Amino acid sequence: MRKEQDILDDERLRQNPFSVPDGYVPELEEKVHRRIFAEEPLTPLAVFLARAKAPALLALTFCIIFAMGYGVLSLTGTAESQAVPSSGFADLMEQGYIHSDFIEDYYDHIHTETILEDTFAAMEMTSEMEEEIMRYITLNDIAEEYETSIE
Amino acid sequence: MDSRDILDIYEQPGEQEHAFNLIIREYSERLYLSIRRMVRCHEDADDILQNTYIKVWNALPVFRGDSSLYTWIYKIAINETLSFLKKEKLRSMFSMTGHEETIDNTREGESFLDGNELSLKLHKAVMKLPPKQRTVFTMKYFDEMKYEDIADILGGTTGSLKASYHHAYTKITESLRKED
Repeated sequence: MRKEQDILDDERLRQNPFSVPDGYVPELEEKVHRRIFAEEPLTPLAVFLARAKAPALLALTFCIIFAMGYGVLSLTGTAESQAVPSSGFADLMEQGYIHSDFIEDYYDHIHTETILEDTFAAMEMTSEMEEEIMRYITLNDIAEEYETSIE
Repeated sequence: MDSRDILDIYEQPGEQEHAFNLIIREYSERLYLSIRRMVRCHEDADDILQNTYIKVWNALPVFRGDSSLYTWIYKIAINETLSFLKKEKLRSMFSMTGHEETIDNTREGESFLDGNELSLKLHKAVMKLPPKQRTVFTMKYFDEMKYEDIADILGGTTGSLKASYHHAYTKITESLRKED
């Protein structure tokens, strides 16, 4: 152990075993000049594109992988959007499974324009308020019929 | 030529290229020898030094003069060397030839080597160190820099640098023992 430590303590070892090759510095100067001054200076756009290249390629890779995955899902049909389910309540009513006195009464009233007009006139309702109420209380088929009857 | 003189020339309109040439002529030998100790061959040192000067050219307009011009350039050179060593280590991991084998082959064919046998063994041992340890050992042992100055260049604390140097020192002594 002592021997190896003495070896590294030898001052001669601290001297650089290498030397600069003859003619190296002028050659170096020329090479550096060629690299700096012979090339066209980069425009800010070119610098930006050079720096953005790697992240852009990464983003493109993810997009391709995502598109491939979506394509597979589309082909297998699992990506199909399902139709918006129709109102089950209205269907059940049409088929007679559900009965509502309130809705049936109101359905009759909608067919009677005079009653409806009188009612809205008595309540001093604006056209906006009328529309808001209709949207709130009618089912899809009743609202459609009402719009047809008031035209 | 004093660094202040070079900077005065650089600040004159149209004299930037001339000042840059003076920098290359003034500091290249010292920088080359510092870099050469840490790499396998002359070509590697040459590449690193070229890259260093390109960075120097691009950064000269914003050089604040907090340190001397040589210290500033030396810092760039050392960090450029460290980056090179890390990339080289990564490349060697995927190379078919072993990293040590390429070191030995290159070292023996050196044409401008003045060192003796023990110096050759020491250099081989230094080449086996990981990049950071190699850099710290070279700056401390060969360039005899203070830990504070090394920390200023490489970053990190003096404590971590001392530990790094101690590990490098121990590995080298063990390597020299095996060689004997």
